[in-house]
Amino acid sequence: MQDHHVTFSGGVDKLNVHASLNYANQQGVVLNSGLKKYIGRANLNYQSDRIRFGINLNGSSIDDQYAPSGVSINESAGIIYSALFQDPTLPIFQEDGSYGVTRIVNLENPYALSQEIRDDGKTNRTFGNVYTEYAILPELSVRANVGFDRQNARRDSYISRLLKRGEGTKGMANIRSNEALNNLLELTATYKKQAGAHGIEALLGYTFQEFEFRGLSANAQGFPLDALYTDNIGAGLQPTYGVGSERTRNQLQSYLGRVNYNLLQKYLLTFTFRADGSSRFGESSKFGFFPSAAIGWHLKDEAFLKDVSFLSDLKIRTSYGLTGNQEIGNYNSLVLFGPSGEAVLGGASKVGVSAVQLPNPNLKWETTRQFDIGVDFGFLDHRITGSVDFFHKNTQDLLLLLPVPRTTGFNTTLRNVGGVKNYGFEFGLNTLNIDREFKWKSNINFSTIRNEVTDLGGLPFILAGSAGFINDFTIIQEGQPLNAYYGYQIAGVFQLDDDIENSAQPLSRPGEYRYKDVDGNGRIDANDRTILGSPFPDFTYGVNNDFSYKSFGLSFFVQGVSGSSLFYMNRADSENPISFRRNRLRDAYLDRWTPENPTNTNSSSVPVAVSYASNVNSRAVENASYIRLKNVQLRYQLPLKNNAFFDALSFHFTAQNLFTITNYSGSDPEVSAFGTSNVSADFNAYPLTRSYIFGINANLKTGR
Amino acid sequence: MKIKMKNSIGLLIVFLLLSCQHALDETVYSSFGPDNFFNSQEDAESLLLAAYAAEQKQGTDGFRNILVMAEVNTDLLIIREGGLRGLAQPLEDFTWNPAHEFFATAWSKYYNAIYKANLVIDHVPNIDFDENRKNQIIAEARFLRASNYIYLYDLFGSVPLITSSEVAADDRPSRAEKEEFVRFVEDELLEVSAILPVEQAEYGRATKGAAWAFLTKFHLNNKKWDKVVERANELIGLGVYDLFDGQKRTDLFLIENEENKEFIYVRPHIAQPGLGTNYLPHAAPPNYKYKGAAKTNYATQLKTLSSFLDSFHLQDERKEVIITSYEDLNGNIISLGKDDARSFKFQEDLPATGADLGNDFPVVRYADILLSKAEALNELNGPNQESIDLINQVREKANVPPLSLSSFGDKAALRDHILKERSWEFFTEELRRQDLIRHGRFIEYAKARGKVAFDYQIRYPIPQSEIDRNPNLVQNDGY
Repeated sequence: MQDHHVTFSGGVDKLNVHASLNYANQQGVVLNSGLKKYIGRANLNYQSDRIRFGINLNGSSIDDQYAPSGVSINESAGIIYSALFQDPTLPIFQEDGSYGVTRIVNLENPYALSQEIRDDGKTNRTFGNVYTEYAILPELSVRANVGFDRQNARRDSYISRLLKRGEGTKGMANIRSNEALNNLLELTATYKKQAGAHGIEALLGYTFQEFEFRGLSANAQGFPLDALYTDNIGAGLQPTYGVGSERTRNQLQSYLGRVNYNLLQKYLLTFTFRADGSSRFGESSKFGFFPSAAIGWHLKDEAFLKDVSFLSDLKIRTSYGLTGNQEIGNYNSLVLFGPSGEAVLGGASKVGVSAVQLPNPNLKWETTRQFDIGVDFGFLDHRITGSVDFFHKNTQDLLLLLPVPRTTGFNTTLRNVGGVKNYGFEFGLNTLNIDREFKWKSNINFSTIRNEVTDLGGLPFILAGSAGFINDFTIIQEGQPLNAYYGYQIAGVFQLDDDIENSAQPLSRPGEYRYKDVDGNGRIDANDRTILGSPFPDFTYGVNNDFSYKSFGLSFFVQGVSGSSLFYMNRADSENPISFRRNRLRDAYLDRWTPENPTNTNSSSVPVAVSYASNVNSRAVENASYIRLKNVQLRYQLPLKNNAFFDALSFHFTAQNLFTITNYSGSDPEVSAFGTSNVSADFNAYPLTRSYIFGINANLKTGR
Repeated sequence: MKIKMKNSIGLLIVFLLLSCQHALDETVYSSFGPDNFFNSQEDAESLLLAAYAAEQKQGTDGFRNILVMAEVNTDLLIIREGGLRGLAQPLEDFTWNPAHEFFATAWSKYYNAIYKANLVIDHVPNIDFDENRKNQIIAEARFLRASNYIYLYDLFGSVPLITSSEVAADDRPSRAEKEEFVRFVEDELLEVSAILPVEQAEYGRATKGAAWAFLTKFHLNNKKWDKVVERANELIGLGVYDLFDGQKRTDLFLIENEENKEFIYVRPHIAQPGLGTNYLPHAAPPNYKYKGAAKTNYATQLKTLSSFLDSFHLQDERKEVIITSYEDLNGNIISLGKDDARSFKFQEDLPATGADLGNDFPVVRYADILLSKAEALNELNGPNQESIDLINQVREKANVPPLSLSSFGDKAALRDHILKERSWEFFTEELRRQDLIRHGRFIEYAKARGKVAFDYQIRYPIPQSEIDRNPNLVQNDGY
């Protein structure tokens, strides 16, 4: 990995200029993956008595090379999944130099995957804004800001004929190109006045933002040679051609106001009001109204605390407010008809049109009411500072993809459903432990969080989560954490002399898992699913220590999470494989149940006689608590005095993710295969990188 | 500078006022809304095409799941290796449970097709165009809806009857009573058979014959023997269908012989991504050397049981598409051993590449109508010459010696023969499970193959994920 920055700042008179360039090149952990970034920035600001004016421009170009990963399975699976489950005795190369392939395991050779799929993306982005501010009166100013963001991206992928997927098709090429636009208009007026003990600042504003997306894709199969890649897609076989395009647009419109009032800088009051409109919601519910209020009190400034010398700062603050969420796709409230399958009639394909979604015309903002109360404090002349906060968030009308009975013809619909609450404490402490030539500073943070579904609008539960061969592994149920893991509890392993015939699993055999009969009805069935763990931690914490002595510095940062669970889907797959020829995770397999090794922990790994339960079980939902040494940095600042070239020159050596202490058996207890979705699980996780970075910071002398 | 500044602010405010009015209207570009859609005959035809597309269910899940559910638990087939094996094994071993993904997939595909048919039935009457074609479109949609209900009934028994496209997330329908369900399907097919044309311009569309053929088969599986005879007679009397008249019986399934008189209703396929059948890539043995263009060869192996292969008459042409040896990619001739032969009934579509081959799949063919009538007549009257003649019509095409009435002492003897004859005639055509169930042999044969099978397993369970979503659904007994 390389990362270079060059920055220039300067100005004349009322004009200010800032420019920077950045180049970064990062090689991935998986073969043939990586990222190259070029970023340039230029800011120009003009300021006179009554007028301010500025232009900010940013341009970036990102080239990425993507290694096949993700949640696909079988021949489409990524490198990690293929490497985990491919026959471990398969050679990378055969004797004749070709890739090792197996005809009886439907997975690719993972090395071949890294070499024979080209997946390159290029994203060019230009964004910036122009603003102007004009002071009508000394107290009153107006400001207009116009922002824009243009992003053009193209992704080319090619699957060669040396892979199983490309073998029968003689190469598969796919080109996707898209353009994302985002325009912003902000108009605000600010009034500011200090009259004696009273200070007031008021703001009124209007904002409008529009987003547009356009995409185009083309694909083909059957190329005379692999060497053309995606550079002559027309060379593919005509019947395999596919093209597609899409275009979407959405808008946000807001009216906002804010009043800050302070009395003697001691008592602070803030009121805000927003009316936010989003095009994504139903005709009659596009706008959401989100007021908030906050009070602050600088206790330290009161007469009765002025003279308490060990106390250097004390402030109490509390706030209550509403916020909204509109992060859903576009058009979910509309009845839409679109291309929906191809019929084959008269020997040709004919595109049909049908309703493409189960719309919800009543879709509205998801609203969170948040209450906060906290104290900021400082002791011993600010050598100890910190804060304690309690928060309570109550989210109503959750925007959830609700599974619906499929007798409707649909699988899901987007709905505002029920509520969920989050509450907890946050605690932060910064201390200067030693302050001589040798300095020692510490930062500690600690927080707790509880998450609970408070209401499900009358529904008994919602099952969610689906990837690979596994469906419905989480549950949303009143009184439980959102998307808690839901499946079967393993009680042990059937032994040779157990009375299996009279158990709740009469057709099981010795060496198979014995499940807990949760409802006690004497048989194992879907009603024995139970909550296996929560993806939310009980508490998280971080400790950073920084030591410095003369020109040397050393810091290390430890991070930890406690009490969360993670569904390790690869374990679930491995212990109940789709084909017995697939590789297994070592720990469970080497210590598997046999008549000679009558363990009560691991099954025999023999395919079960009767599957009473799904693969979602208490073995695969693991404790994901961990402590990690996230960052260690050693610094050295060259002692420069009146150097002809440099104002400052320093070196640093940084190591990241040096070690993790955890009982979690996957590669990283922190991952989720589903990105920002509120379902989390570990499926084909990209391994965590441990990186060592050497850096130089140089401030060049300028001629000023 | 000041003036310019004021001007630009003024301009912005004008822009703001202009943009306020419809600022949050959603502009749809890539789809149609109901306002600009239900207008023309073309719109009506497109709606119907979507219903066909869903009913034809081409692609991986289509072929694979239905065939596996219909044959891997019978005396015809086993599945080994590959990803499909893990899913097929519980079906082969009679250890499936309501969470098996095939049940949910089938359920949602069929109901999706029913929804799309309902859209046609609800909306097309309001579009203004040629009344004749309009009535036909609606009849085709009703046919498609009924056929999907038959597929559902075959797997699960009676299920909720959804007859309107006005659906909502809060719908919690219950299962229809069996009699109500059966009557609905029968009435629908009978009514549309009066509207549907005998021949359609486009091959693959529903015809009068298709409606009658589905009705014949539905009556057969419901053991309404007299109705089977009545319907089959009408179909035979139509004079449109006949047994395939080719060099060899198995040529019936060659691509060049498609659109023949024997296939009454088909799932049409073409060799395009997502529109073909991937049967052969599943059946082809490891490293099989395709005769035409290179194709996918899945790890999964569909293997014909030797006991079935050995049951054919020596002269029976129909077994010739079951291969027992093959040439591999290295030019070696590989012999396939016990329980390892492969049904190549849907023979290679030579120019096709990938996993999509263009072989049409016969959902009902004329031979089935003849054998259904023969079976019904035997059930009604015991062994009779007409049944024997009907069976012999089919046997003659396969070049096997004809049967004589005297060989069948009683109804049971002829019934047993018909069950065998149907296996020879219809292997790989997704009919075996329902045939065995109708003959009361499904569970018995499974036990004979060493499986621990139970009588309730003649129905598959309602998918667990559907019951989770709709507590009003009552699970089939035993599950």
